[in-house]
Amino acid sequence: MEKKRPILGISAGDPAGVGPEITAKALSLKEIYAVCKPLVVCDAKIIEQIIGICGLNLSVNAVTKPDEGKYEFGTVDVLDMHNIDEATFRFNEVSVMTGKASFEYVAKVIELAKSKMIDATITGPIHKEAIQKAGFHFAGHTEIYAALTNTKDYTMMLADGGFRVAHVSTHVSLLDAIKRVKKDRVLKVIQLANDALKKIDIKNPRIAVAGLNPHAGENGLFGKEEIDEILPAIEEAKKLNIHAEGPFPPDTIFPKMKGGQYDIVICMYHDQGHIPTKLLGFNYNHEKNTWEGLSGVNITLGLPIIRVSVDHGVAFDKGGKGEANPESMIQAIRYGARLAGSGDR
Amino acid sequence: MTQIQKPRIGITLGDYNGVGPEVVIKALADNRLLNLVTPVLYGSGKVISFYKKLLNVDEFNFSQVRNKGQFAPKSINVVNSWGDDAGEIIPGKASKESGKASFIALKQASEELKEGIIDALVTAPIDKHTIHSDEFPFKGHTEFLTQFFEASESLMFMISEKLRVGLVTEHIPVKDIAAAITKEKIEAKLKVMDASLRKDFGIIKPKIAVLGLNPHAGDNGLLGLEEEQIIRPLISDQKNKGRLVFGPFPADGFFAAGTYLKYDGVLAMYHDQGLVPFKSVAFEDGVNFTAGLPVVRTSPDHGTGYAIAGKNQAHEGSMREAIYKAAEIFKHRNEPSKEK
Repeated sequence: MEKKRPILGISAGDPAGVGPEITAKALSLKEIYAVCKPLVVCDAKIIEQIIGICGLNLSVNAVTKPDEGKYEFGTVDVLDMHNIDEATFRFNEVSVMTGKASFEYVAKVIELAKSKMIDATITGPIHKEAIQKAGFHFAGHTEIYAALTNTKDYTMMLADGGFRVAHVSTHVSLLDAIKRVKKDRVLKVIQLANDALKKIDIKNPRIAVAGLNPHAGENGLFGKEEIDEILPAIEEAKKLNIHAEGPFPPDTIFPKMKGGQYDIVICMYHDQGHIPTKLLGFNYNHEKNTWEGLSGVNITLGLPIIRVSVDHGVAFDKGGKGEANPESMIQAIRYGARLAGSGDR
Repeated sequence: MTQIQKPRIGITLGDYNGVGPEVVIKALADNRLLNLVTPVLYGSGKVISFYKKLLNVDEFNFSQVRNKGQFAPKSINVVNSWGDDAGEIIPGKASKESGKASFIALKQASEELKEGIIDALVTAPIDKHTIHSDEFPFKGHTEFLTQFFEASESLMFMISEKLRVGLVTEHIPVKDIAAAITKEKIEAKLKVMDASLRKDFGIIKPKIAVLGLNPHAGDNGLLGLEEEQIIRPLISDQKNKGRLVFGPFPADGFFAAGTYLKYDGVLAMYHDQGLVPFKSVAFEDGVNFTAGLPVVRTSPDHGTGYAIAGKNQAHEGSMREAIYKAAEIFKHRNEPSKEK
C-alpha cells in the first residue's frame, strides 16, 4: 500500500549558521523521502554551496511553488527566495541580510501551510539578534508563529524519542513564570499535549504533571500552587478522560518517564523541562571523547499548522565547515511527517 | 604497625515506616563495608529484626550496644534509641509515633557525634510532616544539624562521581526564591563550597560554576534582572579576588553541553535546578552532603518512599555510597596535609 507522503516545508534558518547544512545532510538520507516530500525554503545558491562544501551527492531543483517539486531522493527541491547576495555573504556573522532572509523563509513556510500548499513546517535555527537587527522584533520562532497565525493558546513541547516535555511557560523570568501557573493554563497545556500525542498514534497518552515547588510542595509545606492550581487542573483533565497524574516532585519524575512510565511530563517553567531534556539529548561519545548532539526537537502545540524545529541554535562557530551533526533536523523531519499523518514510526 | 582505627559511622534508621531501615540493612549486608568502617545504627533492634525477616536477609548480624560508646569493631552495632512502646511498625504508613521515633534517634546520634563517640553521621530519610514538632520545627536534617552544631552557614551539597552541585536555596516555595537570592547569601554559600572542596575533597584550587536564576540566565536582562543586578557583579568580584568562580551559566545549556564536567563544584540557585540534573546524572550513586558543619554528615538522595516501603523494592546504592562518602570525607578532613 502506498503511504501518504506529506509535503514538509523546511525553512533553512540563518544561512550564516548550520541550518542549511543540517538540512542538506538530512536530505541526503533516502529514508527521509520514504516518509515525506521535503521542500527547502532558502536561497538556492546557499544550498548548492553547502552541498559542495559537504561533498554530498545531491543536485538542486530550484522551484517557485510547491507543486513544481520532484520530491525524489537525490534532488533537493528548493523554493528559491533569491535573498542572499553572494558577494557580501559570510558564514558565522550576524547580519541584517541573513537575518532578514531567515525571517522570510519562516514567513514563507507559515504562509504555504496556512494556504494548505504544504502539510507541515520544519524550522532550522535562526539568530535572534540578526532577526532583531533586520527589524523583526520577535523573541524567537514560537512568537513569530503565534503572531502570523493569530494564536493565543500555545505551548512549547520538546521531544527526544520517547522523552517529552510541554511547558506552562517558557521565555519569561522565574518570577513571572510562577504567576502563569494557573489552573486554566495548566489544563490547557495538558489538553494540547494530549491532542498532540494522539496525533502521533499514542492512543491513551500517559501524562505526568510536575509540581512547581521542591518535592511538589510536600502537601503545602513549601508552596501552595500544587494544591490551589495544579491538582484542580489534573482533576479537571481526568473528567475529560485524559490520563493525567500528579503533581509529581520535579526531581524524580523525569527518571520515571525515561523508564517508560509516562509519555510526557507537563513542566511548570522553562528550565524545569529544558534541563532534563537537553541533558538527555546530548550524547557523549566515549570513543571519540567528544559531546555529540543535540538530538531533540521542539514542537509548537496549539497552532493551526504543524511546526517542528531543531533543538539547537545557529552555532556561529561551525557554519560552513561541514562538521555539523544533522541528528536534530532528521528527528524534526520525522516528527513533522508523523504529525502530518505519514504513518511513519 | 599500628592498626589505624576505622571511622565509626553513626547511621540513623530514619522513619521506621519508610525505606530507611531497608536500605540500611541491604547496604550493610555487603560485609566488605565492615573492613572500612564501624557502623553504629541508631534506632531499635526490634525494627531491624522486623525488616530483616520481612526482606529475608540472612547475612546480617548485629550486636546491641549495652554501654554508651562501646562498639564491637567487626560488627554492626545497634543503639536502642527508643523503647518497645514506640508504636507499631506498618511499612508505608505515615505515623506520629514513627515521626517521633525518628527524631529521638537523630537527636541521640547528633549528641554522640558532638561528644566524639562517633566520627560521622549518615541519616536515613525522615518524614518531614510527622517529625515536625515543637522540638523539631525544622524543614529537614540540614536545618536541624546546622543549628545543633551552631554553624553560621551550611550548604546542601549533592555529590556524585561526575557532578557536585550545591544549593543557594533549599526547601522553600519557588515564589520566594527570587527574594532569597541576595549577594550575601550567594557569597556565603560560595565560601562554604570553596572551603569544602579544599578540606573535604582535597582539591587545592577549586573551580566553581554559578548558574543563573532565569531561563537563558536572564538573556541580558530580557528574562529577569537578578543575573545582571546580583549574580554577575558578585562573580566579577570573586574573580578580582583571585577565585576561580565562573558564570552565570544558563542552566539548560550548562548541563546539555557537559560543561559541568569541567568544574569541581556547581552552585545552583534553587532545589530543582540542582536536583533535576543531579538525579539524571548521578542516578543511584548520588549522596547529599551537608557542607559547612564542624562534623561530617551525609545521606542518601531519596525520601521515605512510603509507596514501596516493605516491598523489597528500594535500592540501597545511594545509602551505601553515603556511608562510603562519610568515611572518605572524615579521612580527608583528618589527614595531616599541606594546604587546606
